[in-house]
Amino acid sequence: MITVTICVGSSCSVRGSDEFADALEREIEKRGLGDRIRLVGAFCMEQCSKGISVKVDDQQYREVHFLEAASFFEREILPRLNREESS
Amino acid sequence: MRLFIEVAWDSLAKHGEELCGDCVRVATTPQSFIVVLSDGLGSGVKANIMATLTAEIAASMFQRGASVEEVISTLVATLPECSVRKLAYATFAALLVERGRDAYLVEYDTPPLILIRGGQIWSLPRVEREVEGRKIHEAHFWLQEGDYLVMVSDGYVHAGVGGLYRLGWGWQNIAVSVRRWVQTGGDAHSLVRALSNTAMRLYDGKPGDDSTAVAMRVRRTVVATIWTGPPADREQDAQAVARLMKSRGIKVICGGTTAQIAARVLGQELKVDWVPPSKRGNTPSRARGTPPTARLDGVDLVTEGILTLGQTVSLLEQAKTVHDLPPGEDAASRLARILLSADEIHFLVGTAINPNQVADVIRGESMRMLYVKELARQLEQRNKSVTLERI
Repeated sequence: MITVTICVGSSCSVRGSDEFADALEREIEKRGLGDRIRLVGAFCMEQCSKGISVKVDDQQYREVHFLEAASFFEREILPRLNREESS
Repeated sequence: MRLFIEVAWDSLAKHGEELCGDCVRVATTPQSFIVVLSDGLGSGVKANIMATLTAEIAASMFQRGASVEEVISTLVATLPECSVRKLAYATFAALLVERGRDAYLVEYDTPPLILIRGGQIWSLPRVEREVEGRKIHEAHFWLQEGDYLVMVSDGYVHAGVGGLYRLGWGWQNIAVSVRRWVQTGGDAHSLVRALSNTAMRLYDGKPGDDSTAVAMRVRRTVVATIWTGPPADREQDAQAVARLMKSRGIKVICGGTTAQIAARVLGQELKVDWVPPSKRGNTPSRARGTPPTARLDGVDLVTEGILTLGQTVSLLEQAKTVHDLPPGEDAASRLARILLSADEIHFLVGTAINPNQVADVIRGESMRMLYVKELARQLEQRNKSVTLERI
């Protein structure tokens, strides 16, 4: 199970964290991975200045743009899932 | 235990008149509560001016501690004389309450105050006396939790005359209606609305006289403390959390970072009630763009900061009382509901500047402070007692 934490605090809300979450959720549903990936919201991760703050398990990402949900999923989440599967 | 007097009033102007010839003034300080209902002679502009002058003079003089003799002699000396009737005249009733309990009532030619206590109509022991040749009635009494008080102008007593009631609604019937209504346990706003609707119906939508009702409910004071923003000095974090947790009444945190400070100090995990967009449905409570709430044990509401405060300001601009708020379980609706339900509101405003959001500072004030000040202003307009402390 992978946990993706998305900041929904002031700054990230304004930068589109909701749209990002929406798109990410569509990616998850498209692939039927709802039982392997959990989306949760969080308040400020104190990384407000650049882009949306996202955490995949314990790894923190900054400067995420709300329009790059699909590529973020391919780049950061899928490999992790595959690794989880093979181990 | 401190008592609070919730007050609401509504006036119906005589049919065909734009202005109402009744006037209500409320003056509150943390220690005292004063309400004056005045009914000007006749109707329309002249009556309106008489009633406004009378209510204004009486309320401000009583507030400065003047006696009823001083108030009446000032009114006699000040009120312009009606050119038709050669009379300077407006009736008034005033209720003065000290420390939420100690009540003094003075009535000059108005229908008697209705007091409902323990489900019964109470008749207050009134003493009649003459001041400046005018007959007044006075009563001293103690208020109790759960008391309902209603003042009406004579337009209420006459409502329905010749129609539904041959002699009008009548004081006794009004008192019985209030007594029955009080069993619902509703607040002063709902009571006054019910009375107003009934009077309008009795008059068949065309009031034959200016009709005003003032409803009051005596209840425990509702206190809310809102902490928003990290203190300027990190060393003060623990103290700020302690201040909030020790405060009496409803506790609110507005701000993601503020909530995290509280969670850290309290040794709790901050749980954000975030629902993925697809599971929200179209209910207004989960509308897009409304930041979610979070949960901390011992805190009644935890929200995001600046966006929620901004949305709450907009809600308060559109809603006078808690009844006017649109239904919704989103953070701003819940915060607005708390603010409009409370009588005393304390804002603890942290003044730390988020280094990531320096652009938020406008003429030396943070956006947060501007919103809080606007909320405070809005709440003070509603006769609430508001304090704002920078930390």
